[in-house]
Amino acid sequence: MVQKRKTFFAILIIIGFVIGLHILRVLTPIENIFSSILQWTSRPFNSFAAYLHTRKEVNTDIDQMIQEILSLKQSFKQNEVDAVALRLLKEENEELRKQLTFFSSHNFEHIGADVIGRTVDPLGTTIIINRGIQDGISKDNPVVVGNGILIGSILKVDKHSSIVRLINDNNSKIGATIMNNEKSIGLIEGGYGLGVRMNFIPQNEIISPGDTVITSGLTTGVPRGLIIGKVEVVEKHPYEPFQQAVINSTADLAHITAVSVITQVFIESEG
Amino acid sequence: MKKIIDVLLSIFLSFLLVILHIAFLNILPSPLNALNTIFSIIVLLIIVTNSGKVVWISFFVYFLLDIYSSTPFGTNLFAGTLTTLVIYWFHKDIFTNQSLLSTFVITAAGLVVFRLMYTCINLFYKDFLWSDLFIAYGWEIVCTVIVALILHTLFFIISKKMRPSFIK
Repeated sequence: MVQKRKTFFAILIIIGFVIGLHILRVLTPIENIFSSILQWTSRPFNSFAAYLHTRKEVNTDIDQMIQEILSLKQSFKQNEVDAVALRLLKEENEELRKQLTFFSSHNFEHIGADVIGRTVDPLGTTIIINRGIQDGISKDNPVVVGNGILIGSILKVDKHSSIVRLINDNNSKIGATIMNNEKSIGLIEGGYGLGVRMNFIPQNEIISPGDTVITSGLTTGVPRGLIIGKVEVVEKHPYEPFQQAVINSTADLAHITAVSVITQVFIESEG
Repeated sequence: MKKIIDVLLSIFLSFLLVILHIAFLNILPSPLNALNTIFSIIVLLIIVTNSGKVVWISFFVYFLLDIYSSTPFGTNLFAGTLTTLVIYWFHKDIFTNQSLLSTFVITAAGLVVFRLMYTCINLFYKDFLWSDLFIAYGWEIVCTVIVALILHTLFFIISKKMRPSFIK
């Protein structure tokens, strides 16, 4: 029994010692080497998993594919009309901004990265990318896919890799705006890997399913205008000061293969 | 010289375990990707070798896992290494035989201990949706126990067949 107690405390001390060395960054060179080896070996498995998922998507009914093509053609036509209206609105908006002497156009620097795996946490709401400190990435940098669709932010940075916390992680909190008449603001919070909710929306503002949600720019480091998703369900209780909405993320958070990290936000002023 | 080769082999085995675990995590569909490959193999090693060396292998394995994990460094290392020590003692003093029941009990009890310690440490850093977590842990225990039992059966069938009395 005494021997067991000695062994237990000896192991505890060794674990504490290793954690101490990690905190003092003494183990960083060794950790970087091991991390590189693990990422190099996990990359083919991640690619294979993405390939399997693609094959699953391709094997659909022909009728279903035809339906999808027809629906996409309709959306494309609608988008062309919207693009013209948007251009007119944008010109009008620019003129008004000049008149009010209020310019706030933002420009930002970003870097592309590949997703090389998922972390080993049970709820799986974090991913690993192959860019790190050496590439100019820092903690809390926003991460996007496609044309500026926000999927998360940098949680942890190593020399050559980083861990991204997805927006459906329960510790993810990002300021957002709904593209309704009132431009309602709220807080996007993850739902423990299940989905995304927007909380603290003022009770008196009207939001509808289908409204687009974008970043409000109120979260440090996250520029305004990044698409998050669309409102799916509105939850409103008369006795509560705020209403909530369930948001359907535009990006498929379960299958991401390539991302862009916004490393710097430039604020430009005109005139 | 033999000791150096032993140490190098242990390091290599640890890397292999972690790579296998990450591979299954990525390839298997949900909920099968809840399988804790590392734990099932560690249990098999304890039952087959009955050696305390497995605790040091698990120390290195969970060190590697902590590098790869988004949880604070030391979470997997602390929980995993101490759990391996506990199940080693469990096997040495209580379930001392190499039966399927021993494998079943050691794997299930070990995982409960591991996830208890893991969750307690993580409570300082994040909050959980408990129902979701218990479902994830439940699937992990089911998948890992099944795989541990399969590995146990396969190992003992193969090792039995390799005995000199079977080879003529």
